[in-house]
Amino acid sequence: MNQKNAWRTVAVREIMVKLTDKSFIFSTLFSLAIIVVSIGAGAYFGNKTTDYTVGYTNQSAQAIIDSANHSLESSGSDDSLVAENFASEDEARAALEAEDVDALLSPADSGWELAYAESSDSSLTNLIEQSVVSTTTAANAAEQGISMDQLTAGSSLKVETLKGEDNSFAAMMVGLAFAMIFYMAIIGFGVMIAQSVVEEKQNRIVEIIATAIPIRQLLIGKIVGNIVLAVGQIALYLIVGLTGANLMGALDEFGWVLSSAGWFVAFYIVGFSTIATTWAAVGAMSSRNEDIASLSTPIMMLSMGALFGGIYASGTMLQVLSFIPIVSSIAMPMRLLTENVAFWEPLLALMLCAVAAALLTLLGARIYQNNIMRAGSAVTWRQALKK
Amino acid sequence: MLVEQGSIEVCNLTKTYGSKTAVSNASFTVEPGAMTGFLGANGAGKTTTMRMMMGLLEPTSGEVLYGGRPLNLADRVSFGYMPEERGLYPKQPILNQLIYLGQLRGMTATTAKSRASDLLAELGLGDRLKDKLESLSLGNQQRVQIVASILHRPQALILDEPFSGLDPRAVDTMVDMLHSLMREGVPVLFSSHQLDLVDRLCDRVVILHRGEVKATGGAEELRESGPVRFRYRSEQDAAWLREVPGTEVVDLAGPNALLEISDRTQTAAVRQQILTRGLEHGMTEFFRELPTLGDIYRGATQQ
Repeated sequence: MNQKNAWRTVAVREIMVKLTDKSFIFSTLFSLAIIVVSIGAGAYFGNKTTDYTVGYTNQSAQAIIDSANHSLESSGSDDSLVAENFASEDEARAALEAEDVDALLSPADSGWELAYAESSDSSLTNLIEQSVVSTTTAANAAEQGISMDQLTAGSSLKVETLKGEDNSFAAMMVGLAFAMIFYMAIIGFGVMIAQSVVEEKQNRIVEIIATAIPIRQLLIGKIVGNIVLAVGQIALYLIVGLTGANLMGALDEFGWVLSSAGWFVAFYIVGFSTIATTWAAVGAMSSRNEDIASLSTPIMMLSMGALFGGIYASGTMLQVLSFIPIVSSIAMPMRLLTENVAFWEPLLALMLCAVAAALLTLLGARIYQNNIMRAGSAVTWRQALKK
Repeated sequence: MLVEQGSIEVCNLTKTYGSKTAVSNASFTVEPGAMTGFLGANGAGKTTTMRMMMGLLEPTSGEVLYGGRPLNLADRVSFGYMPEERGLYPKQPILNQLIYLGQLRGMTATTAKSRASDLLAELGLGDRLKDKLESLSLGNQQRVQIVASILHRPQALILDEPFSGLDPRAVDTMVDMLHSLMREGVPVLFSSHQLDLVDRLCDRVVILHRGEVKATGGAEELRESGPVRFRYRSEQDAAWLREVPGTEVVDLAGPNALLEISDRTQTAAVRQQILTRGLEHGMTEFFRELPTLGDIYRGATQQ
């Protein structure tokens, strides 16, 4: 007899049933579509270039615009600046009003004037301003018989960031995405586990199964099967996401996510395992699918608390949360993305979560075994925990 | 195929829920190669007893023996069980779930598949292997349920209301299947509240009433052990029978009567007397009337 390995048969069935389940396939494809679309959108907006057209009537204005365009090109930007000549000031004004040009550069009483049609564009203003300053300075210097190098000696400023490029906003967004994926997985797969348990209980097939294999084997098989599905699904999302980012050429910008993605997967698996058996307990306590909603309220509140805690907490609060099991699955990846975290910290958090997983699994398994055979109405948490 | 010979002995099984006693001190034997009918009204405790036998419920006290030793998990794996409320996956193809159940009992997927296909074909479901259970009629779902319980060539069968919802033809097919298993020495216990079915099919009977076993034994023995009754028919008024010592007239309708011998040991003498005098009163028939299972059941559950 293969009673010791019966959980494998159960797990394989659990996986096969889900893989042929239309709603499961659909929701997975839907999530994939969202991932692809958001990567596409990110790449589109990230690579969007702006072409500025600046009108002028005066020869020295053209020199300023050309010089601005030159410094724009040498900065490596894909944006470009085009100078457009107008015969008269009136013609130029008309073109600006018609928004044929983005701005109009003309000499003013004590310098220059950059006119916009409605709202000013700060990057264009900066560009022209710098060019105006350098061009006028160079002209003034030449008048005074001083070379430009002498004038600007020692004035260069080099910008450097210790941690490389600052990605704090992007990191926040990735952390948010991780948090949502985890939250959706524990709710989504959790409800699936509970439904699969209550289906067997409601149809009494559990009585036939229980005469064939120890009920514990059935529980293990169910949990393992769903963890495999959850991990498979997240792996699929990551592969599609990273491949997509690579194809869009955005991987250079998102490469820093990779190291935290590894941690995220670890926290995802351990965090999900922690709560999976509790969902099986919910299923065993229910007598119909409708009972799952009310019986799972404590788990829902915990998951929601973990989600909001991980997203909104910061500083010391976030550090504390990042060690609390289940909450840590959201808070720690968030910290890993947004701040410097010592290597031992995620390891410790994972270990704490594993301990919680062991305890909750024992409790969940006990509730499951006590209630799976019970006929009649649903059991409350108070009743389930008392025995 | 050689099947381990073994009878199932239920010894003093008791199940109480708080102050409520569901089954009280039940003892009976399910013998190999025989069909034992488990009779009782709704709520008599049949299902509770069967669930205790299958290890699904922990008995408050008492035990179940198989071949003389306590019944263990390995034995139960080799048993076939059909729960009262039918249990299979409604949204799955019937062949798939039968293979799964076979695998759980240690069959290979290939063996389970060929055996399940054969049995389903035998029950007329050969062309519906890939259909979902819920798309089948109730009677056909019941057939699939039967296949689930005998798929692994069980060494014993415990069936809770197996015939409810089956049309007469399906009952016959199922009885044939059970008989072929019984010929291999498999003990079969099935519960029912359909007296006529039990009367027709069972070699042995267990009558449960309010959690207590009221009668158990071979169907013939039980009938013999009942009151000794004779049916009398004649061409003249039969009122004179009232005066025959040692008898009691249970029912009298003109020339016909039903008599009961008060003292079983005096049967021969009383019979002799009635036969002699009956011939003078135009007697046409005089024969022993055995009680039906229904009479026994009503007698046992009257208290």
